[in-house]
Amino acid sequence: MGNMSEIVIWNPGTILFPIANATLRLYQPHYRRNILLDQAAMGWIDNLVTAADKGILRCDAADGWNASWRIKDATKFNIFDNAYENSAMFDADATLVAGDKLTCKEVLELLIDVGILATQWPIEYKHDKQHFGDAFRGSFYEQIGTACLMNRRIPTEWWADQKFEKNRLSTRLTAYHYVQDRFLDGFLEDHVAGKSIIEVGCGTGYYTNRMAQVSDKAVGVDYNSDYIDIAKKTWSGQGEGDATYAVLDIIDFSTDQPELIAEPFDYVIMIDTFLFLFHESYQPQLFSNRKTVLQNLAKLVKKDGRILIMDPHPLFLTPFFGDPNRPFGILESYNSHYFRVAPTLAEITELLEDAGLAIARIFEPKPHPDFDKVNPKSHKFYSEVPMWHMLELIVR
Amino acid sequence: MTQDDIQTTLLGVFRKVFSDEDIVISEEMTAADYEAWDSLNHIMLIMETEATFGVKFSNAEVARLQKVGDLIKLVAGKLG
Repeated sequence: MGNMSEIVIWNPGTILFPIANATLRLYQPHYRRNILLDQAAMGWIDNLVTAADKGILRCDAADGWNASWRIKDATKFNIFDNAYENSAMFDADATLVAGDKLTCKEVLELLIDVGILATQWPIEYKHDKQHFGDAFRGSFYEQIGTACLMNRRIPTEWWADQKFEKNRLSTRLTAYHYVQDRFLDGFLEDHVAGKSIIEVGCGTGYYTNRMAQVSDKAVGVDYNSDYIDIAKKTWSGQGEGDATYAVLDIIDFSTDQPELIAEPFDYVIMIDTFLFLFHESYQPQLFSNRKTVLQNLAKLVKKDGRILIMDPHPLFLTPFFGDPNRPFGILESYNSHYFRVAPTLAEITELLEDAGLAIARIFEPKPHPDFDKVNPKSHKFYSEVPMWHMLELIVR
Repeated sequence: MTQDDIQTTLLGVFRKVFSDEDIVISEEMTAADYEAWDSLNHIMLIMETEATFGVKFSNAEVARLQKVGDLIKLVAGKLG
């Protein structure tokens, strides 16, 4: 090991947090990677930072290298338990144990892979997956794909499992419930009572059913006939105020029940669907037809009606850190979609302008106070930094 | 089961996953060679391959797969 040498550069963007048991947490914000390292290695890190001048690291005692230090990759993409509550992708249960020792070569490979060390200046960032099984690279969608592959789960099932209880009758007690549900409850009661509403991309029909409880007429449509079958089975026989469901392809406007959309509605709503219009590879058909999709939404709404877009906020998935009573976020990009998947405000307004729509109002829902009892840190952060927004649109 | 037998059975898996009776596979074929072979279909392909051959792949084995030939060899190794 004493002969081992590499030209390496410490990435000045690496963030160090001292945590319990003489351990450092190293966080690389561009790849959202986390490393646990012995705090005793601080002098070695100092040497590395200094080595930026000389550019050569030797894995020997002269450079402060100590083979007995423990180190571990503590990155976790816990997609099946609400990624947005761990958007820094940190495995909080990980600890350093006696066996967590790597050779200097292994340490260098790991730290180069996670972007804490680099072999050239300026540092070149590689965000794209190299293959399907390449974990912790690619956008949020792409990481969902890898997580589903490794867990043998079908992505459409993951989405429903993350948001809803297994019986699909209620949302899980997460931010979906304490932010989105609670906000929609109030909004629907205040605005949709006695009105007609259609939910486009209704999935398994949960929200359409809620709308049916307060509205005069509620229709749920989705291009996926499997979802519509589930919606009909799940929500039939709910009594007065039943919603109706139909298959509708919002791109070509074909439907199995044209009579349901013959009359325009007071409100058209899309929930957690709009963002898919902006991702070129996730659902290419939606991306290439996004203007048509919005123009078709406009066909469904009355002249003085409103189109409601409830969608992840551009700041969705901002990693947050620090004092649980006053957490703060680290934003490493906004315009580039290395990881983030929500469109920017500029992308949104460009498309709306193109499709003949305009924003009348923007809502940025805060969590219900009850969220504090379930997840105080997330409650505090999402009280400051919005997780969703709802755009109220008019047809120009 | 010979590697040829595995490739023949695997062809049926591909035809089922991609709903394409005309698809042809070769050992050198990769996802880049077939447009519909995206990440979602890759998940379905792995799950269907495991179910068809009655085998389980580790995450490390899945992560190493680059081409159809790798998948054939992996299945052959599992079947002994």
